[in-house]
Amino acid sequence: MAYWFKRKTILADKLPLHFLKQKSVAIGLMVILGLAFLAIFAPYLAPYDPVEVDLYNNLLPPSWEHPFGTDNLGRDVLTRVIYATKTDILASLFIVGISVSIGLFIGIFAGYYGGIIDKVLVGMMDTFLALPEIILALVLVGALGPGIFNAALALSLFGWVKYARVSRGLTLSIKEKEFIEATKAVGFGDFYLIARHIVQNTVAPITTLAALHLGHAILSLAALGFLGLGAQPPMPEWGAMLNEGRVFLRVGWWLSVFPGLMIMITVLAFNSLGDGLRDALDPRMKEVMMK
Amino acid sequence: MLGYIAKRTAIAVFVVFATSALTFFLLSLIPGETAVTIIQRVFVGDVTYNPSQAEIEATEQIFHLGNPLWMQYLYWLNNALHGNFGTSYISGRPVLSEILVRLPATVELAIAATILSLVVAVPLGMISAARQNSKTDYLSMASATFFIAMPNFWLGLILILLFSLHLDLLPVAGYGGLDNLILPAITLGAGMMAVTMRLMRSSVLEVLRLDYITTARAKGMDEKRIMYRHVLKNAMIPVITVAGLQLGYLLGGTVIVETIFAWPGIGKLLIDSIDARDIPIIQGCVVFIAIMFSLLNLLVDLSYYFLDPRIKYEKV
Repeated sequence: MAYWFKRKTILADKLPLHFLKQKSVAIGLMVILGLAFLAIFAPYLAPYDPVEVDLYNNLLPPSWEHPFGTDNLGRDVLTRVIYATKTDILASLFIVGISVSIGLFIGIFAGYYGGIIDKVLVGMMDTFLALPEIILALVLVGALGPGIFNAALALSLFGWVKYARVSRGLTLSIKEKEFIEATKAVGFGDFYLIARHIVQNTVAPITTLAALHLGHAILSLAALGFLGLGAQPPMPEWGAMLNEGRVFLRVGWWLSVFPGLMIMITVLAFNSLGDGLRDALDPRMKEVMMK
Repeated sequence: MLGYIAKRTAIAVFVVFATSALTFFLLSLIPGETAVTIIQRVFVGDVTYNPSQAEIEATEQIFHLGNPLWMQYLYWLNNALHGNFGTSYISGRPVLSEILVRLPATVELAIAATILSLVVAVPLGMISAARQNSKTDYLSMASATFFIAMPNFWLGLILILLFSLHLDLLPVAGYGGLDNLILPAITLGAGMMAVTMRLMRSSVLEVLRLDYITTARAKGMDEKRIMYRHVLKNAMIPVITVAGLQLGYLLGGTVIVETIFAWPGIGKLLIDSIDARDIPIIQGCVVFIAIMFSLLNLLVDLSYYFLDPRIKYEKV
């Protein structure tokens, strides 16, 4: 399966690394690495236990002992924010991974074979795009029951459409190229063609889409968490933490400020990386992505 | 032209039907005896009531529950096309009237948010483009980047914290007066404002490069008049398209904003009915949102045609 990765130049060809010299991209990447560090080493970095209840010390304002304060159950907010990094980043990687797999498969399939299957799949994509993603996800989570896994699943089941559209369009344009004709004439089959030539050509735009999608997925996931349909207590997740803290807005501003700040920083980092990738790979991509 | 309108309308209608079917099948995944739920909640109004076998069978008969799912959907569709979207499990009132009562609040909020974001974004985007690379430009583009990354539920909480609790200027939540509308409208419109501002800037920059602007400058027209007479109109075309689409996405955002501010609109209704597993209302809300979204898309497509006669729709 991995033979199309054998050409070691593939990533170097498609991803010119000079875009890293842009200040915003470099900062974004550094922030992402920092967040990954937080997520991986959460148990060693966090000063307290994320779920241990300590009612004697509830709703303490930020101090040296508790830099982000404590919540209504006396849990350290900084600790929970650090642990939530892991929840949110892992879940958004899951969402993007599933979306890319489904989207590439459906997009290439529709574009390559065309015909009635293509028409049906395009109709499906149009329907999925015809509603705000969050509404469809809400209905699915409502049907399956709340929880972080169901929320992530719902977002991936509606997140693949963009990838399918882009990869279908690319497949359509590549299919007509002469080298494809030549490959066919030599006698290679469909699978080889798709794996060797079509998938390879989608790597660049799909990477860009995925970087932007990572930020977007965190926003949607946190939104579901905020509505009480994502992560359930006591699991630390930024959106769910905001939902729990919302009730105590009057007495504990720190509960509502810090998790949201983390969401914003993370999304900013992924967006700047995605924007940088897009500008570096192909300026024309801007138009494709805007749609 | 007529063919184009017909085609776009057909697509919009298809999308609404497909969405209603998709929602119907998804909602059928909700576990629990539907007939028992209906008897308890709609007929008796007591969730502890234990219906007899005869009652269950009679209810299944009335609501066609014994049939395969696709037939149940067709029954629902038939009723819906006749204006009957079913009965709420919770309140026992018709779904249609429940939704129509809530609709004005959502429309009011969405329109307020759109106006607010356009009023801020269009002039700022224009100024940014006219003074490209100035401090104003950097500042407004940087704030646009921040607002795009900012979750609207967090923005809502921060605004309440600042303007309601700290400064005590505006009410925390509720519906009614103009002061109630300000914070929800800002929360809902912020993202759209940021997107529109960026788009307006790049659109103006694009128009400024065109030949007729050079001509206008060459004949000695002053910059202000060029901006108003030539640039603004042409740069607005993509902005209006995106604004229409964004208005559709605002409908998704209303779910969150209405929850934060206890705003009695469709979004809040949808969330409440998901919590309560009130299937007919969920179904009705999603269909209504799909209808509004498709209508907006249609309007955008058509307005695009009238705004820019150069565009021909031959290949659609």
